[in-house]
Amino acid sequence: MNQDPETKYELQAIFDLSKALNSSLDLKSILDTLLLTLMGKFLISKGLVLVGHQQEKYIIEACKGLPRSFLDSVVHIDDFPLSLTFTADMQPSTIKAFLKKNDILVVVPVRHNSKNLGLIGLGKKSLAGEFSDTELDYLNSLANISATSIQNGLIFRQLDHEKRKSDKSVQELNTLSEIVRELNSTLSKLETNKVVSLLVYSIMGEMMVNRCAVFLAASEGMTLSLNKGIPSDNCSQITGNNQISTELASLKEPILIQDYQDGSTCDAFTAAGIAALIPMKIENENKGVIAIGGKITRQPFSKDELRFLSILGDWSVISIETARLIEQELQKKAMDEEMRIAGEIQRQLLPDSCLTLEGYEVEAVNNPSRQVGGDYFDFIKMSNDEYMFCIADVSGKGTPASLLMANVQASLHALADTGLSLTEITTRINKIIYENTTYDKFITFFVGILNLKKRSFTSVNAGHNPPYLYHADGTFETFDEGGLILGMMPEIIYKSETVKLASGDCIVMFTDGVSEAMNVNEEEYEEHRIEKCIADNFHLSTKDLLKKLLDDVASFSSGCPQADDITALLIKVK
Amino acid sequence: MEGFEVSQSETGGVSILCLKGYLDAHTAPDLENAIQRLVDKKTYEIVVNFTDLTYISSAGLGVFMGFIEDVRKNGGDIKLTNMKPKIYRVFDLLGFPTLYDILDEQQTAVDRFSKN
Repeated sequence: MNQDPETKYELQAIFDLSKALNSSLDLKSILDTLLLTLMGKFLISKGLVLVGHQQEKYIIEACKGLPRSFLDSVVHIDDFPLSLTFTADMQPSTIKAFLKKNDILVVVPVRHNSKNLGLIGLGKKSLAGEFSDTELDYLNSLANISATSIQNGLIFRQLDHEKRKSDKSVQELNTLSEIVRELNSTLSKLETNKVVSLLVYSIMGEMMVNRCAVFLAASEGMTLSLNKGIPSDNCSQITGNNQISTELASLKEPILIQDYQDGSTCDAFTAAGIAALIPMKIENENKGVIAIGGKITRQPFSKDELRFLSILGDWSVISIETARLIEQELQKKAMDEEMRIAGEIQRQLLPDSCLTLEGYEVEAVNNPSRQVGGDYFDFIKMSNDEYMFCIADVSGKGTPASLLMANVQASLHALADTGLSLTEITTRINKIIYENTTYDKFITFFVGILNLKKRSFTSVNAGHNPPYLYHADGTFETFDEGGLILGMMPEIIYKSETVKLASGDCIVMFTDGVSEAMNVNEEEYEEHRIEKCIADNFHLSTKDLLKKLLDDVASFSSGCPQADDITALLIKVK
Repeated sequence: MEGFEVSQSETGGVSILCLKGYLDAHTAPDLENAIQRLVDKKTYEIVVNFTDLTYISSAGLGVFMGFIEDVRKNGGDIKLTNMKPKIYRVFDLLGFPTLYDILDEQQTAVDRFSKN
């Protein structure tokens, strides 16, 4: 055994290093230990270790005395030295240039089972002097000793990487299962907003992005559902632009904005800080788009990540679509209920459809449409000799129209026996309606008083379709005198007219549900058809005449849904 | 399902949010509101203590992403402390340690704020 103290020291150093190397499985710390040992032993201020990545690509896994930015960068080694080599002796190559530039004087290969694991590079010794043969042997020995540790470190890193990948997949699955859980949650609790917010939060956490918006396809194009980190102004610029909106709606695969061909479209997304778009599809039909900003880490999105986002989007949109359908169904139910109530109110306000008066035949009809319009008719007994008749059409449909109609009915009944003239009554009702409604609510209104004894009819027409006065000889006139429709202006003076009635005369009142009934060609029934129908069937009783008129309207508009209430009122003098 | 609670306190001028229970997509808005309230009051030095948090999903992490830029722009930070290993694993998997200060002890985080 050689007792040379230097040799003894070297053996001790090798033993120490080997112990240190084997005590760690972390590649970085193995390489750091190796490099520091060598640099300390030879008093060298620069060193690095390159570790094989794939084929001829090597990564700088450790470096000392060189810029830290070198770490993790890739160096191309086309001609791997199989034994210790001085940079100066190498054939011209990228690696030679790189080593020379950074004052790396010598490189030692690290090989394990004839596989090139990496390369240790060292700069010149701080003290003058070349490497001695003993030193070079020592260098080789260390490279050999460390090979197994480096190999182990590489395997461990690979395993850790695989474990991480599998854990990441589990995390992705957790996120997906949360979305699915939402889908399966009690349907009544499923809300579009909740699903979208779940989606956006998950994406932001999963991808480390702080900009995310969800656009959903609607009949009028893409609409913004939720935006975080992307200003609403930018989002409306996207949804407001036809071309961009169309492009979103036709997206079938995830796309990175940098890959966009069209400059102006690209600019709009870039301005919003959007880096990628992911379509949300059901059976390959685009139902919405997720827009996300770049990662905070500035790393690009990988193909796997885009695929994950795509799956996440597809799953979410199923929940969103289901929630939307449920909301729609609930809304429809609420609307049906409202219509039922409106219809109920309307029915209760209208009188019976016929009135028995001596010397007269009175017949009325009201067929409410499915949506319940605001038609109204009434007869009010004022005295033994006088009856008030009224027909009106309130703007709008549903409950609001019914309530306004109730208002008119109450006012009319209250004013009917005050002894006020018909024009004064109309003026007052107009004022009441004007004061109690918004500018877009109004009422067409026709009111008349029939004096049974005098056989006279006094009327005021406030913008209603002019009723007819048919004579026995088939000629007719219309009741036009009156004034503006109710509810438009506060102070209106109405005019009235009075006609004498003769035997065989017939007053015909109707609403626009009759004159504007539509056929399949979108033509309206119009007054001339009412006139012809009455002329053709004038000989019939009021009951039958009314039935004929309704049948004629129905056959005219067959195939079309009844859009408005149909109301008519006939008074015939016997 | 477990619930989620967030309670707020203050130590040395730093706001502490203590999270408890189950932080997922359903409870994420609670946390978002809590942080939003702080940001609205221009409180930008925030420590989130995870001692009693038993579960976190990606959506929970998403909340932090929504605020970090704004808070840092205003000279503050959101520091995360006292995570159980299971919770830390999720943060680690999604790459959060490169972006966020994640510390073992709440006090360390509070001290870091006062040093700056």
